[in-house]
Amino acid sequence: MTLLPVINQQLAILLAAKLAALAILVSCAEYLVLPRPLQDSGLMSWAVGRLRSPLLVKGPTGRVLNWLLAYPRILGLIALRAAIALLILFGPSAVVLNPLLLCLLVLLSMLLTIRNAFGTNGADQMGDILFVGLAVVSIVTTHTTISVYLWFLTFQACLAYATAGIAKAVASGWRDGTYLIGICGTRIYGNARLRDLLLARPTLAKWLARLVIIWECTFPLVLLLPLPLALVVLVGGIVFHLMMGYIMGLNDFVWSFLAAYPAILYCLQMRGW
Amino acid sequence: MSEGLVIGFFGIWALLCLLVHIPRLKPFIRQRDWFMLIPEWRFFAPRPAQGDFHLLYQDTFHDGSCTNWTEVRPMIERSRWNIFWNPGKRERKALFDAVNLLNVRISLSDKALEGSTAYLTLLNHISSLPRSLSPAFTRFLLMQSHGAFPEKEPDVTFISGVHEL
Repeated sequence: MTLLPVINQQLAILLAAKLAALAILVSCAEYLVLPRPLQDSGLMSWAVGRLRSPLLVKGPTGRVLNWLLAYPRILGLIALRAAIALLILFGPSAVVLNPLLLCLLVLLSMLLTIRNAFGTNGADQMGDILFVGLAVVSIVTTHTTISVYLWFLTFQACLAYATAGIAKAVASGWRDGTYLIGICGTRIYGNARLRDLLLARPTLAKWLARLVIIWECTFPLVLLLPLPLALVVLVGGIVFHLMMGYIMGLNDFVWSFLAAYPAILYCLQMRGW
Repeated sequence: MSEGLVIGFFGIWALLCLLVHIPRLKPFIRQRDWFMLIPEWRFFAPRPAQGDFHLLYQDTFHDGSCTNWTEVRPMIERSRWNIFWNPGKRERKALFDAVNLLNVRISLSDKALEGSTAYLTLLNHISSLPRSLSPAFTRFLLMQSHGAFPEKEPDVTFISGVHEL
């Protein structure tokens, strides 16, 4: 265990919350700086998006949600969400584990989830999962509940990578690298220089794609590997997310997925070898 | 007692996250997951979009004359700073999601296509764009470019009906 500095429950939960709060803060700031998609004429219009369910339109629920989520009032809710994320990011542990604050943050996040039919991603989902769990633990804070929560976060990270890896492994286009080149060629998630490099070197594309598949599929083994190897897998994860942030512009995935890593470190320490 | 409830809560949640991958149970869970807390992590698998979606519109005037097809906010190259700051991603992802959903409904030959959220979102968006003239009607078109081969002509994937402005 000498390779791993002691990461106790308190530190693991604080680091996880602060990294996820950073993801939320960046996301909220991006909404506030560029609110155009949230406007009634935008591609994330509430006026149109609410038509997907009668519950969002009719009756008292529809009226309350419309009052809360219509543009520009939604910007106020996003600003409040950013302020809470800021408090969690820079506040002491008493603030980070404050049940009222966490429940309010979860409520605002759920309202945003209900509002946006389009435009959200897996990083938002990971952040929501992390904070819903944390809010529950903040209400019943015992050694056991915190431990169960940290194991749950580890389970989510392992499930995320493994399912994504298996889904890629069964696709021949992933195994031979053509899908990787295709993604790199898009403007939404790609990188023209990398596309040109991979087009010129298809073998490199194939092995890069296979490396991603192998790393994702075998990620859950992190819990069984000897500590030095387990740390190599985790460092691989950090590099993976930083590269996806740089190449694909998935900046919020960096913070929201790395937020689960302190929980994994805690679980590695708790497994007893 | 309350400790047991919390353990049960996380246990059921984890179980649902596994069960959602069973095709027979997926629709049941998906319909009830209002807050999107049961994820199905895919990360661009099994078949990712390998090109960009482009939204274009064309206006028609009362005298029957038409404008050229115009692309709504053509996608620009991303910045290297997007690793830290990427405010444009929401709008791009919203277009991506709307077009994907529309494609699913088209593939199912959905007769209520024009009443779908995806169709209405795109129509509402192009109808609200500022215009210097006053056209009477508009319609939109979706194209998909070929990511790995930018020299190849994009495919037209959908042309909407004509709608009054």
